[in-house]
Amino acid sequence: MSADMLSKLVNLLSFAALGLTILLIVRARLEGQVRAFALQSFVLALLSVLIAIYTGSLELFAVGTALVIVKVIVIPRVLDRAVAKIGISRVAAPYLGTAPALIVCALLAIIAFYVMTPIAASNPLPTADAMPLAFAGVLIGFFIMVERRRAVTQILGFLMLENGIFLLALLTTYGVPFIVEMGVFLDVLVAVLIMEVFVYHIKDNFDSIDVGQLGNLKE
Amino acid sequence: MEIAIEFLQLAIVMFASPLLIGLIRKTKARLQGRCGAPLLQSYADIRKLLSKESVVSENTSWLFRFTPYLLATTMMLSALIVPLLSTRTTLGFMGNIIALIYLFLLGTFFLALAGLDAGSAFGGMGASREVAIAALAEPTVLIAIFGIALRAGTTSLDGMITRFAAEPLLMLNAGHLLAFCAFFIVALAENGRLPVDNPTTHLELTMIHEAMILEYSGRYLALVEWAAGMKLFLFLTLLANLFFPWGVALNNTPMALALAFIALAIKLLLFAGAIALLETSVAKLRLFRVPELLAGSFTIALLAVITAFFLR
Amino acid sequence: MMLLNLLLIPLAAAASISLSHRRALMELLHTGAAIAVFGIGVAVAAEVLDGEILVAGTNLLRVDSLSALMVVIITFLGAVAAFYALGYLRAEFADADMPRARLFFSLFHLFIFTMLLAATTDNLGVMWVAIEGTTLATVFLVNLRRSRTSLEAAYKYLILSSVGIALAFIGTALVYYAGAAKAGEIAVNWSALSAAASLNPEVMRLAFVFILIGYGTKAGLAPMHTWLPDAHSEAPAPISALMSGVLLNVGLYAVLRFKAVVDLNIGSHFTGALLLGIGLLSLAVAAAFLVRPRNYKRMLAYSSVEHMGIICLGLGFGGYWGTFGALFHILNHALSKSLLFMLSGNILRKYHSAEIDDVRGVLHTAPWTGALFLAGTFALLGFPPFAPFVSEFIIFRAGLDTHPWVAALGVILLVVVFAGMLASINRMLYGLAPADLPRGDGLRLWLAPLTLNLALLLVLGLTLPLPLQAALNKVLQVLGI
Repeated sequence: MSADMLSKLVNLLSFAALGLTILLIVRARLEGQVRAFALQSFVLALLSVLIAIYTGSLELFAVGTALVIVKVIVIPRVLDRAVAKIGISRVAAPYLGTAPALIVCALLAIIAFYVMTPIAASNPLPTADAMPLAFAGVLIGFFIMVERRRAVTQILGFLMLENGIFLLALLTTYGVPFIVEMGVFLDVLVAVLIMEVFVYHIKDNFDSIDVGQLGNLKE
Repeated sequence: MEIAIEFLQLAIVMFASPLLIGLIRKTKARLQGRCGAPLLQSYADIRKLLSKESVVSENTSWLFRFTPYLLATTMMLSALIVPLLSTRTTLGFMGNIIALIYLFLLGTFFLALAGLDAGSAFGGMGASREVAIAALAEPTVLIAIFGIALRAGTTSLDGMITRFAAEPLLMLNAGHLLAFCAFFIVALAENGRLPVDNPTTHLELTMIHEAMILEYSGRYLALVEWAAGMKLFLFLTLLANLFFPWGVALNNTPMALALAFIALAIKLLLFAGAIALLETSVAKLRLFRVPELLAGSFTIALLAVITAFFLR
Repeated sequence: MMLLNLLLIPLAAAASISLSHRRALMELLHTGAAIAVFGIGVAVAAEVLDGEILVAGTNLLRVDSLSALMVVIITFLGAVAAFYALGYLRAEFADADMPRARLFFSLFHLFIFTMLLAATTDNLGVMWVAIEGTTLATVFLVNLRRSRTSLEAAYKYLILSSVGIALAFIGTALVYYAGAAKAGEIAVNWSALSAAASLNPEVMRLAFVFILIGYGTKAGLAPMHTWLPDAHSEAPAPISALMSGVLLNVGLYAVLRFKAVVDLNIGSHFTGALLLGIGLLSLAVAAAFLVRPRNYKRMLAYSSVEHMGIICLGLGFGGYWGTFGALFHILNHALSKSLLFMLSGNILRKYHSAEIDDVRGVLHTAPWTGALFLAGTFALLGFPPFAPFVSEFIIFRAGLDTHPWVAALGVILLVVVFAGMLASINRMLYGLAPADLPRGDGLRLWLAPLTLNLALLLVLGLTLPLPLQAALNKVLQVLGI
């Protein structure tokens, strides 16, 4: 595989990952959103394996496998269980409608490109071109966390933010050292488990997972 | 030689577009488990309409009778510009993609006015919906065009096709694929196909394109239907030749032209099948959701432009 | 070996407490672990200050002077808070409520473990994992009461901290990228990075912005501080004390490490300017809310934001004295804030309300608590002869030389805070107590270690002991100043 071909494939897959992040805004049902996240994690695992083939690094193979186990199998299962337990949720509309939200995503992508392109330009690796895409994924994940009102969607936004950061590290330096990657996976897994417990608590206490209800603590 | 090719292209568009419509209809029917109307049904329809008397409302102005001729004319003019078979044609120098999009829009504009002209409620409704969709789709089209034009370095259709045909890993280029997606969605919106508008509906309140032409009959209706068919044919040809440029004749040898003809036929066949499949699987979007779809395609187009700017 | 023990003891304590079923056993393990960790912490610090740098595991743990300072703060305040927590939990949660007590004690030590790991590791990535670990360990502690408000506070804390720390990871990855070009894979280690100069300046700048925003969220700097008042006021008093006094400092520690690396490559103007801006903003935001506070725990939380702002100002002013003052203030704020939070736990238990309006005449109803609280407030507000006065003086004196307007503005904001807080606390301490409140401190025994805090603050304010001065000088050397 030549560097040019790797670059093109990486671009394609990164765009797919970004598209799946944006899909989170479009899909209204929680199960669909969890599917989108699982698919995105799978795309990222494909990317790590692709880069692992190109560089011959065994560590990246292991990282890809861990990614599949943690983010494609375990975490979606945890979230599915939470979604099933919550049941039907009557939640107020998000702060911004779908069409304006999509426009904001496009604008965030532009900002991401503006910030990251100088860094990407000086990076000699063939995967560096897609760095702005990964950062756009981070910004859009952040936007989803702010804009959506359901707690589970906030968690998914956070997970996609983490995916974007993982992708950024992967593209910038072919990933961070192995021990750090594993630590990050562990942290994310525990964070999701804790967030799941919190969603149950919120549902029990407030009878809905609308985070707009969490506004009692004020000056 | 090049003039001959021009007329050949024009003839193909004029005579093959009803066949394309029939093909889509037949495939859809087969997918739905029906027999469906015969392939050449559209020709029969046009002939029937031409022989019938056209009834025109007294409240209409010259615009009403002028519009069908305008539609047909703009479509035929576009047929001369769009590179169906070859990139080297006489009027190819006029083949600027922005001009082409606005030729299409001219027809839409006049059709909307004609819908208003008769003063009927449905005509007005269809016209306002059509114009709203066009207002959302046009920016997307232009930005998608900029996306590919930036990469090709030119807005001339011939130039773009030549540039793309020479590029090896074209299909792996993310910007290219994104522009294709955006363009495809806009094509569906502009031609009144599902999920934006159902071409076979008979319920007036769900119509967009059909509502505007509700008042037409006889030879006017024949012209309008034929022009709509030509518009779809041209849009699909654009999609096929711009985004998958293999097969288009870069020089005008008979071999190349024959190859171009076969390639075009295959590509259009595939597109027709794809559209039929799409129409069978999705339901029409509720009207207030159409802006969401178009906003999505706008985002995709914007990403395509960003790619062209920043990525290699 | 000692270093590994330092980390393994709290981890083992957390594990064994979570398995035990008897209250007495839990409390024993809890206290024993806290004291043991304190002892080892002091020993580690002593060795490091003698000149040795302790290392363990290849490129994993490395304790230099800065780490040693943090270790001492963490273990000392951990021990004090552990002792107080014993009494607090006995009073708050009856024997029957064992699961809650078990959760508290085990998470307490897990919390200490993650903070120690963050302070002692050489690997910037592992530091990141540990700091995220502190968030995860404390989240359930904040929600210990399981009320609506504490649930809200804990959820906000979880989400905001996680997002902030995720952004900090981008900064870490960028620094690693810049370093890996020169140094290869060990570029994720602080020791390697602190020796590498002339790394890509653009990358370094962008990285520091992410680091400041990310770890600044954890340190409670404005405008990412919004989780702080909620979380620190809803958590039980010993946890608030640790979070405000120690955890915020761990966040700043991370920023400091990165600042040293970044300054090596692009000089200290960029980082200094950013730190000044954020410090001033934190001071201003805190001052705005401290003019008329309604809830005394939230008041203390905003005071933490204020002091983090002051420390950032010190780091921003830079140079020898600015940084010296900042480091000294880290120590002083830790001592005074934890003191006040633990005392506020007593007040809460007595008056059953966290509103300032409901609390009157503390000096009358709980004389020891009230006296300590008054002294602690004087310390926190920067009165002489207490230590924070000295550190704040050093910081602003250094500032007046280099950035006079910023320093002047900072002092004005300090005065505003001073007035607001003193007025509120006076209303709490003096005045007529509600008639039906029983006299007596409650938990008097458990307050005993807090007098240590106060004594230290007094001593450090009156004299700067030579060992401390030498230690701080060593830290400044580590930071390259």
